[in-house]
Amino acid sequence: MAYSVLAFLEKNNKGFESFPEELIFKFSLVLLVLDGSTGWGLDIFMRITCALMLAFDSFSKNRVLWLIISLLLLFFNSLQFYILDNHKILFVYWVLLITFYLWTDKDSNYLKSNAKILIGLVMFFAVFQKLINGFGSPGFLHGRFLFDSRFMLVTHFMIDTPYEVLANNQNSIAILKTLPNDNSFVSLTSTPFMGRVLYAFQLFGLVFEALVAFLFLFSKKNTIAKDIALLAFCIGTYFIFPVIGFSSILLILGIAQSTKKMRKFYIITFILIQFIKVPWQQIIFYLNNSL
Amino acid sequence: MHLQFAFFIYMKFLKHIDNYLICYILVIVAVVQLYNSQFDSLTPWKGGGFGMFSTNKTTNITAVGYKSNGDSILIKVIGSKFNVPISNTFLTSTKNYPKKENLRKLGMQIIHSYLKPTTVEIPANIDKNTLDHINKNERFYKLVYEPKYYENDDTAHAEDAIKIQSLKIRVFETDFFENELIVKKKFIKEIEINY
Repeated sequence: MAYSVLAFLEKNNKGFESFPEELIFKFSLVLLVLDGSTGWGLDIFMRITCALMLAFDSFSKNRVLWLIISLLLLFFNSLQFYILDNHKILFVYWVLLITFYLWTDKDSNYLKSNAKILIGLVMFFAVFQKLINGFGSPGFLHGRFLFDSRFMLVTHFMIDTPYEVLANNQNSIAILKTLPNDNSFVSLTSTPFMGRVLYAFQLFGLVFEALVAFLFLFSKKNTIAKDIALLAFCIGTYFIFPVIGFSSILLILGIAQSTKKMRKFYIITFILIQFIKVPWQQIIFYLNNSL
Repeated sequence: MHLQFAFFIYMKFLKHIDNYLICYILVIVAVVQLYNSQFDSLTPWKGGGFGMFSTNKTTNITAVGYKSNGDSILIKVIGSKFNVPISNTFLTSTKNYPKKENLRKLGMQIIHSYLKPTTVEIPANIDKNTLDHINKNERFYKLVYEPKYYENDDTAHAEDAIKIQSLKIRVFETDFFENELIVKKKFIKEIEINY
């Protein structure tokens, strides 16, 4: 039984046509191993299957295995669609694209042109959503930095507010959310300086994101301006908003659509971005308090 | 000639769809998400519309339970993988998109659970009107009840856990207002569920 399954799989192996193609497949498999799925059931399958596909080169481009991965990702992710982070959904699109590529007679330009447009569309919708949700007005980043635990230590350093006060903000909001009373509110503590600095960052981020969207949707395939903009966006954004999955999938899409000249910069950034896992804020906090 | 031209355009269109099918799927999902987040209660952060980090608005679900003697109690709606009979996944999904059928399902899960009392400490930075209201209704706000699993009725009763007869779920939207530096909640909708 095992031999016949293996023989069937081997029949569907395909060899890599070029080094860039191999790079795209292997980076995608790496991401599937590290951050491919949501939920333990699929996660175990992904880790085992994709790790083996990486280890045994001839299976890295196996079209049956990629089809199974796509179908399972589609099925499990649709079960928890409203709790999934958007980068997981983007990742499903990418895996589907790879599967389509393997099951049709399309050339490698198919992956390249689709990766470019996917990046452009993601950035476009991110900007559009921000605009219609009032991101252009002050307040979004200021609020996040006052009650989102991921950024509260930065706030603590910026305005010298004791960390306990910020942690109390979070507790107060949690209790506010339990109360069934309309128009109830809790007051927070901050400074006008903090609001101005964060609003400037907010606007800069919005304009930069729009620039990346514009370049990826409307520039020529080989222009390097779009690559420089995306690389700067990934480094600038994800060291503050540490969503490693999103930065990784954007960089893999970046690798897929880039020229040979720019590819190495994407790989270097992919390596650099892994350092967002380091808990910088906590390290600085503990160093500050222990000295 | 016209027919030939139309056929040519049609074939070109099909070829374009074939080449960029996944991009079209992304656009369709994002447009549906945009519709649901703007005209229904789906959060912009989820659902494939790429609206993460676009707003501080969040939905929050509150619940008031009614005992068989008519007394009302404040319930904290929490989820957990282990000791709470409401799964985190289901609760998060319902908070992200509080559809009526999911709220009803959530309500039934709360009604069928034992509710364990814990004390609640009202924060000092809450607004004066709410604080006055809480002080006037001290008995109601003194304890908050959380759904919890119990092996049997005896262990539940030993921890003063109770069951309720009916429930009112109220959905609010919480947002940060920079001018006043406040996080404020606004009523959205409510449903009643009976045992």
